[in-house]
Amino acid sequence: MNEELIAELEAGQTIREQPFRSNKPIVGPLVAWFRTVWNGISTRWYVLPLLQQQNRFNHAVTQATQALLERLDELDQRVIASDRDATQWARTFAEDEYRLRQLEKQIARESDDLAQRLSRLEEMLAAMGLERRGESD
Amino acid sequence: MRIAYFSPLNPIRSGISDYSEDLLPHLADLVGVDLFVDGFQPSNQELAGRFSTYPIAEYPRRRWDYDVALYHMGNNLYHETIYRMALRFPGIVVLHDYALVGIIGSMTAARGDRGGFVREWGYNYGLEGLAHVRAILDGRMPLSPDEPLNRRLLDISIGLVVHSDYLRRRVLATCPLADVAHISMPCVSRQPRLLTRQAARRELGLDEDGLYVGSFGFIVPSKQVEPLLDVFAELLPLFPNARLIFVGEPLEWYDPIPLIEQRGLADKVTITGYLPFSTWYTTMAAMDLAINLRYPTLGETSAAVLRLLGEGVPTVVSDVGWYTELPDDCVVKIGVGEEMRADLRLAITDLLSTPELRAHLGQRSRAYVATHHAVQKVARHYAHSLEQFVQRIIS
Repeated sequence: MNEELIAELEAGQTIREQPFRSNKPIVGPLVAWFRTVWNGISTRWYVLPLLQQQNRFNHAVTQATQALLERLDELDQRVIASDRDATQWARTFAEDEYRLRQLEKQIARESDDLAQRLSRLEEMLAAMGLERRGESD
Repeated sequence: MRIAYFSPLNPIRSGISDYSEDLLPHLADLVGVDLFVDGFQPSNQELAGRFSTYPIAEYPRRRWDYDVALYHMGNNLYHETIYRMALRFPGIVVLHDYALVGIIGSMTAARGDRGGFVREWGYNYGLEGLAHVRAILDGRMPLSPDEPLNRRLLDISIGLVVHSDYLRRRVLATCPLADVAHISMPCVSRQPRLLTRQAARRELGLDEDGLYVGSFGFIVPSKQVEPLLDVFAELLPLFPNARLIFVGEPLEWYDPIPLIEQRGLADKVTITGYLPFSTWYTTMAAMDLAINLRYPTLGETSAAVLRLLGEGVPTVVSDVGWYTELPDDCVVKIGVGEEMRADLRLAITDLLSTPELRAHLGQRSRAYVATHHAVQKVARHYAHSLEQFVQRIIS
């Protein structure tokens, strides 16, 4: 689409002087010659600078449009790259979260295990205390 | 292991609902499973009684209770909230369809969000994709229904489950580093009682001496409806007692009735419309032959074809995608190019005129499905793969 647009702008950016023509039989060449001469005397000196100014403007617009479209492509590319990066980050974040879930579970398991061992130790200590009291009695 | 399970379920009328209902009781024998659903309650009382079911919107705050999320993804709006959740809280995605253009187009452009649709094309195909989608939106190019548009989901998911090597290869071609498990689709017979062909025909009011050819599932152009009708019409002089039955309903945008009438087949071809499973199985039992073609393929595995094979119905399929992976002695495969009509003509002629060939195919296909698609085996494969996915993430 962009290439088509630029090609269309480039094809039409330069306005050229058109030679006068006449289709009238016999006198046609005379009419064209007269118009050319008259244009040279009356309007050419006035129109030609306008034509050149318009051409400079058209050329500048074509170049600016091309630059803008290229810039737009760059921006699109950056947006796409950012979108893909964000997706990768979201995945990495998700993987970290899954690791965290497993760690949390592991900590919970180990904490249960410690609590059970502690409880067994306390029972053993209590039993030993009872035995000592029994001995002293 | 405890998993959060996201899938449509009945009363949502989808093949994936049936799939999950077959799988869930067996999977739950091996791992803890809770269900997350969007705006419905499972109509299956066994599921409703056995599983804790939560609205999908509760998953964000409950997610720490689970080792992993399992998302069942298909190419229609039944999966919209599942898709959104799979992007927000990535997990394991079961890719039932490779092409997701249907759901993504429905969620974006069809709701006036052209920018959202354009963004997906950019994500998938870069600048070329942007130019392409703008041409589609301006009506200068057609939109292909088999456009994948799945790269975002493939990139973000921590694991993928597919049902064929064909799909596995396609996924890896797009995302070479993806963690992909190929798990066979489960096939559970829902036949409440064994019926002979004659008994099934009596029950359905069909001619006991007729030759019945069925095409099962949704009626869509990719089932090659027109070539099938053409070939069937051509072969009627050879098999005057043959009847063609489309067992299923057309999608709302496709009307096959004019195609049947144009060919003068109105009294030879029937469309049943949607059938409950019991009648569906009775209809399968009544068939001499099934023809379930598919081209182009969206990368799907056909539950309808597996059910046909599981019930021992001799079946003709297209030689494409997952169908190519079916053993040659279980199905008859036909080409998808110019040879399609000639292949189809030959296959129907051979099968309708040779009962021994039909019986042989039926026996082989029944044994194949019982061996490779048994739901207990599939559930074990799921449990093992989920464990592996999680281990690979945390290691």
